[in-house]
Amino acid sequence: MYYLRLVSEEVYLLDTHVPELISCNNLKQNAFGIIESNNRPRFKISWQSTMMIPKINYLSDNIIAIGIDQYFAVVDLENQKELFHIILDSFFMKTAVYSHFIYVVCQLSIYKINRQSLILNSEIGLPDIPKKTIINENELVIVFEDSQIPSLSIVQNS
Amino acid sequence: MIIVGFGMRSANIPNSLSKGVLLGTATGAIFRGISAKAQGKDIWTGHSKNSIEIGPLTSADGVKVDKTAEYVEYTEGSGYVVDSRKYDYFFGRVVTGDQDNILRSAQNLKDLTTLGIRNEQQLNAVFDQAINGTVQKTITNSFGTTLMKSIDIGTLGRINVSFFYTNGNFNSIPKITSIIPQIFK
Repeated sequence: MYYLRLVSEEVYLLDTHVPELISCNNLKQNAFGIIESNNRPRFKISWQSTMMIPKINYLSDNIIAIGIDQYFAVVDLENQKELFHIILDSFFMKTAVYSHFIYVVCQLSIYKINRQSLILNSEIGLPDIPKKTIINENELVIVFEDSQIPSLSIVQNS
Repeated sequence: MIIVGFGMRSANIPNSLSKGVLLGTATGAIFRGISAKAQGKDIWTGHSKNSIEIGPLTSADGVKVDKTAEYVEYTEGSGYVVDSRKYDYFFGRVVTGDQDNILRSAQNLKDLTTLGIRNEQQLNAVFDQAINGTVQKTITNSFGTTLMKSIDIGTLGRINVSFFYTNGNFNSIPKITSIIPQIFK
């Protein structure tokens, strides 16, 4: 069991023993949180946006994916290790987790990451910001505002 | 993975056109064929009452305007187009649809305000500078190419602006697809 506890900047700065996920360098950080599991703080993270909070996806025991603003990471909560991270070129929107790959849907790209090796497989460019992202069991569908742009369908092979 | 092919772009020309936002060239090269009857491989094709069609770019002989159609104003020297829905997105006016977009729209408004940008005119001034800015990133796909360019807003922060070129044609007029406001410490 894990959760993200939103805290004040003062509390955030006091927790010096908790490893920090660096979501942005040289940018003003306006929101602060501590990721906890089994009633223990595992990581702390700060970010710029105040209208949204990080999205967390469960990957396996103690392994989660977290995305906010231009940051995405996969972390091991138990061992407090950041296993993978990437600074995104456009804003993070959603994470779709399938058996073999993790798809990080951003405004202008989708990052495809091998779920086992956590190696970035490819980056799929998008022509515009998605209007809607549909995460089906075996298919990721990206719908665009402009109806003249066909939806993008990424089908998962079992 | 299946990516469906991409056809001719089509969009209503935004209201922003009538506010003098839209068309032109950054380099002084002339585009021709701003005409409701433009022929050839159009870049954007409008179909609404307040829309225009943009013909292919050429290197000379001025701007031609079909006076029989209802036209909008444009600003030479801008060199980009902005869909009016994008201004809604940039200024916090998206209130329905995908929750991510609603929240990001609200955040855009907040961040732009922090950077001192409170209206479309001020944002267009940023776009005017950004189009001549340094390319930070190029994203190519089957639809076209996006160039991300960056512009500092004084010492307050920075805005990354994305210009999308249909079919990767850099002689065409790009469409602004996204902004990323960043506030410095």
